[in-house]
Amino acid sequence: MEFASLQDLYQHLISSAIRRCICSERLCRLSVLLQRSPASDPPLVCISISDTGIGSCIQEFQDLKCPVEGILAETWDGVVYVRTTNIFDTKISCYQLNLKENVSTRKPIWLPSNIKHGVKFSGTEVCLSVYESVDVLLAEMNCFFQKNIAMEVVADGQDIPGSRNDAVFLENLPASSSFTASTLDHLKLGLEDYVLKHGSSLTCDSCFPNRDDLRSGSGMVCEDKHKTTKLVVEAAVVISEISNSANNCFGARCSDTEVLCFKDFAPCSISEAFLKALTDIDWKRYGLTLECAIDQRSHALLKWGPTPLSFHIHIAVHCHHKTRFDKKLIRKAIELALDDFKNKYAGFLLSADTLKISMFAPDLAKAIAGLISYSNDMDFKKECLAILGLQPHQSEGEIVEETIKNKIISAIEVNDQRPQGIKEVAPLLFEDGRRKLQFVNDECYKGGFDPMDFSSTETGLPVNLVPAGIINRRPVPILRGWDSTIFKLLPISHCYWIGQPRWSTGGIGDGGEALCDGGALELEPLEWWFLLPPCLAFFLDREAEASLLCLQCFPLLAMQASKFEDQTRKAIITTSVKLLELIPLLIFSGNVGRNTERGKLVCLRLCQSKWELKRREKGRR
Amino acid sequence: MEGNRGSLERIDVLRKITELTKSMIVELSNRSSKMISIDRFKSYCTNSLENCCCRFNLSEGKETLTLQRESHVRRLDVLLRVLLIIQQLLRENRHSSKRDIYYMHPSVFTDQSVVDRAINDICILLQCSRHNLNVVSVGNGLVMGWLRFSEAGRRFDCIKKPNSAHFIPVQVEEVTDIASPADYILVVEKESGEGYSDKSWFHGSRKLNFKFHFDQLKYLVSYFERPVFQRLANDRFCSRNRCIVITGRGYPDVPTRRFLRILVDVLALPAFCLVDCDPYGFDILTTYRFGSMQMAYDAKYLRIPQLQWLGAFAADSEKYNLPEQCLIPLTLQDKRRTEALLQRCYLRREVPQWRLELDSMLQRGVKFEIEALSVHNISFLSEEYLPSKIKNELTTGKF
Repeated sequence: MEFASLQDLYQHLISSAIRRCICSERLCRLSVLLQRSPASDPPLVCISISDTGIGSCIQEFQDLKCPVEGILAETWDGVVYVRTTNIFDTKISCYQLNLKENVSTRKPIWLPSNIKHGVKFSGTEVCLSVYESVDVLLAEMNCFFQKNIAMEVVADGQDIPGSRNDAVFLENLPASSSFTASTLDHLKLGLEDYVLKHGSSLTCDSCFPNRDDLRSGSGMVCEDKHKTTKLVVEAAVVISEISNSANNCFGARCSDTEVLCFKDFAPCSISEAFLKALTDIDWKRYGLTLECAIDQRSHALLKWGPTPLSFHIHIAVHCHHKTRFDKKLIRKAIELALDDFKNKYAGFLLSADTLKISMFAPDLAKAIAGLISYSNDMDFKKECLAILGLQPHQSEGEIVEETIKNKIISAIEVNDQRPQGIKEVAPLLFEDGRRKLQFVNDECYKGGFDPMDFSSTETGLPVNLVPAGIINRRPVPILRGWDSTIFKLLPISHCYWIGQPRWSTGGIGDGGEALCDGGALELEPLEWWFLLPPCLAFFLDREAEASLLCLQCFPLLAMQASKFEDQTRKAIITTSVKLLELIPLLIFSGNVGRNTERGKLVCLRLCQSKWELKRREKGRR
Repeated sequence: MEGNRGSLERIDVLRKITELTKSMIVELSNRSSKMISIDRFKSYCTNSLENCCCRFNLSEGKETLTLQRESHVRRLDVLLRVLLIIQQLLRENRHSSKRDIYYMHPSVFTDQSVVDRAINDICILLQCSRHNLNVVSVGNGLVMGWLRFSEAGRRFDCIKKPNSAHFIPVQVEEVTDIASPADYILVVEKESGEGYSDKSWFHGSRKLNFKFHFDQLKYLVSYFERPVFQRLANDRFCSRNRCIVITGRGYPDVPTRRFLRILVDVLALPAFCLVDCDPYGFDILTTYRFGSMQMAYDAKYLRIPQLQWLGAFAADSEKYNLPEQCLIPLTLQDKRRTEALLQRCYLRREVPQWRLELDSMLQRGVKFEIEALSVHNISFLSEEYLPSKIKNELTTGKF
């Protein structure tokens, strides 16, 4: 694989890192560090892309090629430094490759390994140095993350004190966004974010003043013909109604549809098969007439006819676990997403046939209402009104007619919704636990237990809170739905927390790199841990280090226990223990890192919003 | 008494309309698109006799009109509009013709056949006959001969002028006081001569919008006044033979069939049918005897199981020495139609000898009109052919 530009190169490397994170099926972290070497001219920037996913293999880099001529060859010497380790490895392997060398004769130069000292972790760090301005790189990466990961890039210009670029955007996201959501949900949520921002880094208030104005649907198909390979295609559809087309950011191409395509969690170019899949869709079933599908390299553009649409359709498709595109599955996934949308939102995307049928509704209603009103049978009339949900005094022809018409239209629209077949849904994290969590939550609430009410709890310190076997399940996805005000209290640094990375918004950095200093996580305390937003987090010691996972999303309460008085701290701990007992799905992992004995972090997320509601209610009072 | 019965029937039909309306509202309230289910009836099938169920007059499944298909919704729209009109007719005890109904929403109905179908659907839904809906059709049929009857208080005495044609009454169900000294009823296919040979130019010229001069029109009138029914009238057939002659003028309409059925039931007379020796004539014959497919649901009130086929048979061409010029080769369409007729279950079951005659026509490959029998003598039909055939039927047949 030969890269034409620097952008292609780092996008590939980041995508590979994301893929490794996803394969690890754990909560992972992805860090991108842009570090300018002091006093170099032209500016030399070290790009470090590190992740805590599964370890990489050398073949991932062996096939990559840097052109010997061209812009990329001028800005990059072709050398990459790779440090990687798998979970059960005892050391971290280090080597360097020159991607300008011939692929067949290229050999890695092995560098001294680092010993892991018995600590189990995995990850990869890829470093390369390029002659490029940090600003240019940052702009490109910002765009990439916005579009594809929707997380923020922060760069640290070490040579100029205080020049750290904290281009972080945070927002309150709906509670439906969840750590336990599937990749499909994230595709959908990510597309919503993309639509809201549509190219800029901020939500456009003029086009979409409210997130609720967006309506979305999703669909997913799996092909499991062979045991070894399984193609999964996910599709998301977001429809936004455009109230004012004159002031709309989409301008003249207001009614065209951008179809974003991703392959293995990375954006990809549009293929013939993909375009064919788009044109093969029976759009008329959704009341749309496709004029043409155009390859725009980064996306496909669908042009609708004959009249412009009064709404905007956005589509994203993600294929993974296989190298080739399967147009049938792509088509099916998009159709499922459209069907899902139709099932959720009555009256939208009605087929051309349904629209035609709906035109008969007034006449049908008039005739049926006439049959009722012309009848001499008063009992029959009363009975009909009752069935229609009308009161006896509402027997006027027009009211009856209107009610019947609405019922006819409703029945017609129901017909337009296809019964969804067996929709394959990606397994959720803590599938069993959700039910338990719900149960526990309700019970707690009924019993008057309020996790926010620390004053009434007993004291006591948990000794060894070990996760309930959750680490080996699916990864926790994204960091969403938090209260951004908390970050006013917290330091923000230059790396990224990443769960299920691609389509999340929010998420924010930590204070160190994933792999450095020969092994265990070299984290700067207090700079990263509480950035798990919708959590109830208890931090027991300034220097504690831990990794953690979260459950269902909800109210954010991050507390730095060290800032509290002893009594309060104890109360917090006790509460956490209670919660741990009540919610067996608590994910907690302590003692990772150098200073394991010095502190523990308990992080807990609570499921339902009842508590949060109660808290808000209290606040209002 | 008759009025009371009619009133009760009206109330019953109105009650059924309310039930139907209620069922539709319930379906809509459940967000169901299944609006109504209409039984499907067949007057015949093409199955073997072992697998045939037509004789039991049972419905052949149901047809459900839903809000899922445009064609269904269109049909439903028409059906409900017609039902609303019918409800008003019944409430006010007024009568209306199918044509009147058509002109109430011509742009929606688009064609008379659409209204006819809706009326049939309503009859099936409400389990009644068309006359129960107060929908009448202007009768096409004619009657003459030895017959007296009353219709809605009006007295019809055909016996005074037995060779004059009278229109068959519109409200057949209100026909009473039927009296006749006739020996039999003769049903003829055609009132007027609608031959194959000379007719084509007329239709062709109509298509070309020819304007006829008065002389030409006179010729046309005289041409169409050479009918079987008219021939019999001119020949004073009913004066010489004590009989009732009826024609439906082609495919018989409901009043004609119903009137004939009432006559046969009330007077208990043998009935004979004379049709052209061609597949269309045979189809008309089967319509009289077994009912039509469109109104299969009401066949039990319309069919005339006693009807006998008098002619013309394929063998008549030889028996009566018809010249070859009078014999017209069967077209491909005729052959296909004949083969389809041969497949009908009721022929196998009830009149296998008719099948043999039909098959004989197919084998010979020719057809001819009744009028061809007049080739040697213009009164041959009324003076020789019919009397001999009827005498033969009455003496040798079951009558």
